[in-house]
Amino acid sequence: MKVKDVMTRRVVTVGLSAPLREIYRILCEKNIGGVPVTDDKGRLLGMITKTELIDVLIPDYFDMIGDFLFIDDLGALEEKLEFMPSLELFIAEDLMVVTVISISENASLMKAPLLMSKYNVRRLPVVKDDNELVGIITRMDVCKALFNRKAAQK
Amino acid sequence: MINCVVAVFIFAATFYFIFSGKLNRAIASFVGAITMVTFGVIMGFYSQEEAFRAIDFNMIGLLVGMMVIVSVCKNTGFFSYIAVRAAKASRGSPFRLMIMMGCISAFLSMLLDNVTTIILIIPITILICDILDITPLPIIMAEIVLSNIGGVGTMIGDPPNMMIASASGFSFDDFIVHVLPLAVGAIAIALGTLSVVFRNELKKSPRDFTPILAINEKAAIRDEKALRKVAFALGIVLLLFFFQKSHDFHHAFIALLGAGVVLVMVRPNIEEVLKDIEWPILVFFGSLFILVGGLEKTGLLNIIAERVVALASVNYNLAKVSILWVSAGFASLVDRIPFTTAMIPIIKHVGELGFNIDSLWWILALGVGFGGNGTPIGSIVGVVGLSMSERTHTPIDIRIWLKTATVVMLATIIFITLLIGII
Repeated sequence: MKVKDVMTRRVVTVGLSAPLREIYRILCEKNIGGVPVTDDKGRLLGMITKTELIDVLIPDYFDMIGDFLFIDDLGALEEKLEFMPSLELFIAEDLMVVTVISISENASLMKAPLLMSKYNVRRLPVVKDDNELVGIITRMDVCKALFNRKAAQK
Repeated sequence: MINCVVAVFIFAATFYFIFSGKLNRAIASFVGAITMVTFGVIMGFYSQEEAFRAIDFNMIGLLVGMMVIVSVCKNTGFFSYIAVRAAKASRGSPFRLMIMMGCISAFLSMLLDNVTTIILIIPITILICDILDITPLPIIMAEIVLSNIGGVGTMIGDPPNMMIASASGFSFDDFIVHVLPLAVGAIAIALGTLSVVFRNELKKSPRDFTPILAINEKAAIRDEKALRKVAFALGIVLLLFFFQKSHDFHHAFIALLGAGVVLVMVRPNIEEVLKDIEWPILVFFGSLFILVGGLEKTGLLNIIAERVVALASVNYNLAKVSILWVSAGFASLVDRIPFTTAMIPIIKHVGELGFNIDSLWWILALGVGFGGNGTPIGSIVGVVGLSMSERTHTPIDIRIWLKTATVVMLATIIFITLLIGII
């Protein structure tokens, strides 16, 4: 079984200049965890997930503090998000992860969970040879495909 | 003569690559050292045995021993604990918080590695300031500046001091007597300067202090037993350093003994500890010793030493002031470690020519130490602190640096200049 047999073909994508609010609305309405960023020819440029959305909403220095877990009440930090520039300033280009882990549509399905666990991602954009986005494969897709095949064997 | 030209050329080329940042400084100095030995052997001015002997293993051992102790210490959560204690004691006053965090950073830098101190203390400072809704800028600046000054205060505070101690034979208590009081004076000058420059930022009092009071700082300590053991080992090290005149153990042995005690008592993952040892810095030091050793063999450093002596015979204080300002200038604009390495044989030669060089060692230590505050690139603490502050909403820019740290550097160097007669 190949990736293209299992992947979701109808993928919601955004362009480089999509504003943050728009991306947030898409993730909420479609109830999805991430959205690929493509150029006008449909080639994959990057990926934005909920992690990137959260990252713009928390202070930049948070990842420096591995030690602060003993503090429960974050005081003034809790109430106001002043450290954060206005939401309108952000577009997809600023947020997206550029070094996207993608998978070829002709790759074996078994390669998908390997890549997911190695790079700790939940979904892989599926591309053709010229990096054109043709689908997306999530853990749920992999889970369904493998589970159904195993069940059919019995 | 031709030997001299070749050695100077290799030396200058290496320094160009170190200072311009075109090549990693460990790689640049390593290649320079190999080139120096190669040409030295071919042209007959520097043998391989001499190159090995040029490496000051006493200093490198001291550095490694302290790195091991720091590596175990930093995982105990002690730094967060002490930062929260200071925040509570400040009762929310930004001014008191700046004084306390600055002094803590200075004190820790006297005993432990400056960069580790800064890396552990700045993030928790930013967090505490955000919880209190006050600007972290003055406090971060105080931590950077006082970490550099604190490092000057003791023999183990900063690598240049370790090099000077090893080369001069001065012991831990010599540094306490001769340098520590001046460092304490400089800390007072620095805090005074920062209080004036940041008077507006320091006025703002936090809206709500209760979240800080609610923090249980004891929860910050992840491994209390390990912390006690590290403190015990550090105590042994300090005690042995303190009474170094009554026994024959070298600096390196004492620090490595402390490292051994920590490793046996805490039994940390040795792979992790060895990873924390900064191998590039050790390669950098070893290579610099070899490079400067080659330069020394050509007799060039003797010529410079004779010039210093000529000046010193006319006016000793003027010679001291010149060394102080040249050291501070070098330390603030380029890397102070290669400069210190090159100055050490020069000062030794001045001593061989019959001068009392004790005060020259102290002046070198003070000059390169305080000079590190001159520009953001003068010390690794500055570079690291600056990049960490860029993640806050009040990043340190060059303008802020010039009106705070540079002013502190000039004030402290002037302070030493005024006291030059008694150093």
